[in-house]
Amino acid sequence: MPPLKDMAVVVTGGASGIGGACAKLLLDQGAKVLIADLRSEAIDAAISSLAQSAATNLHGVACDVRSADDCERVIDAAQQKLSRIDALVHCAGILRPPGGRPVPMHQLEESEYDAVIDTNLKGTFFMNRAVLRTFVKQRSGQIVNVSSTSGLKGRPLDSVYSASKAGVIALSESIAKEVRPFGVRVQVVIPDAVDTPLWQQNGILTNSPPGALPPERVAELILFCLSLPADTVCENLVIAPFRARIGKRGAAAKIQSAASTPEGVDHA
Amino acid sequence: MVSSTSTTHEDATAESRSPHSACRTSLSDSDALANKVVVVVGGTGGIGRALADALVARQCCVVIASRNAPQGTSESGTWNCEHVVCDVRESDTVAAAFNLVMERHERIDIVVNCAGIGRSASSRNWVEPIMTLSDDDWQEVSDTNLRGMFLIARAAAIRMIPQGSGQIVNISSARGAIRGLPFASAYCATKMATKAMFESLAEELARFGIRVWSLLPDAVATELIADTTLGKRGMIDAAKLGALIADLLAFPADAALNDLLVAPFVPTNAAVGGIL
Repeated sequence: MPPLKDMAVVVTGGASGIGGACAKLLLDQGAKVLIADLRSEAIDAAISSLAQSAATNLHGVACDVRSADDCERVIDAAQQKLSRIDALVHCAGILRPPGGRPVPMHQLEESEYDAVIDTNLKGTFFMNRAVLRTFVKQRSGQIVNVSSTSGLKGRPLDSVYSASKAGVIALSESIAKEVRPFGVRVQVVIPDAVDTPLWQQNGILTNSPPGALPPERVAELILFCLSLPADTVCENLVIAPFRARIGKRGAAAKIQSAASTPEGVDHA
Repeated sequence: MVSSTSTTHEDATAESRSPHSACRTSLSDSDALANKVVVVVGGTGGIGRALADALVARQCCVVIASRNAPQGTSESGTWNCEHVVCDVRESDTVAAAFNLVMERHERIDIVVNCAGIGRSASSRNWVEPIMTLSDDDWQEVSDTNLRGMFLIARAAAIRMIPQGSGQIVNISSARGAIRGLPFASAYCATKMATKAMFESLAEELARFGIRVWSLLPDAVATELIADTTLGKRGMIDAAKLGALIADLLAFPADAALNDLLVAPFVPTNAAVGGIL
């Protein structure tokens, strides 16, 4: 039996991007999914595009992760609609608030700081806390939080986003150790550039950078985490685009010709 | 990815015997590995043997490269898979082994180096304070773990560059490569060095479509740590890790997962000082 079949999973940010890809792959694997997202129109659209084959396995609820009450309501809804909760995949996050621009920090408004930290970091706290109350009680469950490589190494013009994602990693690592005694597994996935609507929040640069990962790829890593054997856990889940980069023509040719030399010959 | 068709009773039984079923992640059902030519260096014991088992179960063409021919039998039939003589401390045998694989199969898709030692053969025990670590002890660990990884990576790169594709994988160590371990200075130094070597090679060889990555397993139940206390907080079963590595090898080629750390998950109170 596929390990994800019948797993009851809450996916925040589940209407688009990485969360949307997760919801789709989970449904493909026979999981029961509740997607939570900020805008109910986006949820309706996602559900209607996914639901043909999985109407009874897919539910949605509107939720602002900046609100503790909203996050509690998501868990209540999951208990009702899915009849239990086995996993939380927390993807909800923003790069900057609507109308924001990539600017150096000395030009940032306090409101922009609040929007990003409240959504990305406090939202992770609210959503994780809400689901952990259930998981600790039932002595099982798993969380996969989504951070970013910007949380490992700060990026210029994304200072607050980077700080928030560093916070998500630290928060996840702390609670992973706290709730392990209860049999609750917490992992954090750290993607590099992914081709999602997040980039549109840059306003002036609406496109994803060339070579960005398809969101399905990150979703596949998240499903890999969820389907690990129960006695195994992964850390340092960094996923980056890989493509054959074209180096300088001369250098590549030199290396290529070196490859035709048997080892040892030019070292003897 | 996964079909929900029911299996017959016979199928289910066969599956439960296969080491591959020891671990099934969502990537287990992709057939991305079928017919790939995979060289498992150090495939006669420990993680290497478990990985060879898992790869055979996934229809790979597995070649075990090791000093001695694999012994014993396995229900999955691993020990019918090919063997080439390869001592990672000897440049000549490494080149000869890779030449032989190329002669037989005309390509090498994946090379996984599992050959590694925790201490020299003559060293008394794992607890080896630096005061008594001899020149020869140091050299032996370094030759196998570090120079061996260099020889394997070079041999693999030379043959994969003309193909324009491939994966070279280093089984490093969580204990060795994240943080030093007391009384295992030689081991930790080599494991951290191979991680650094592979970070260089990952960029160097990406332009040729070759994915180069390290895996950092925490305590695995193998001979390497059998007489140490490293497994006291739980160990990963080698068969499960082998199946998991196979899953990672099957990950789509447009993504890179480097330095992934795999650890045992044991519900223990120790991490929070017993306060819960």
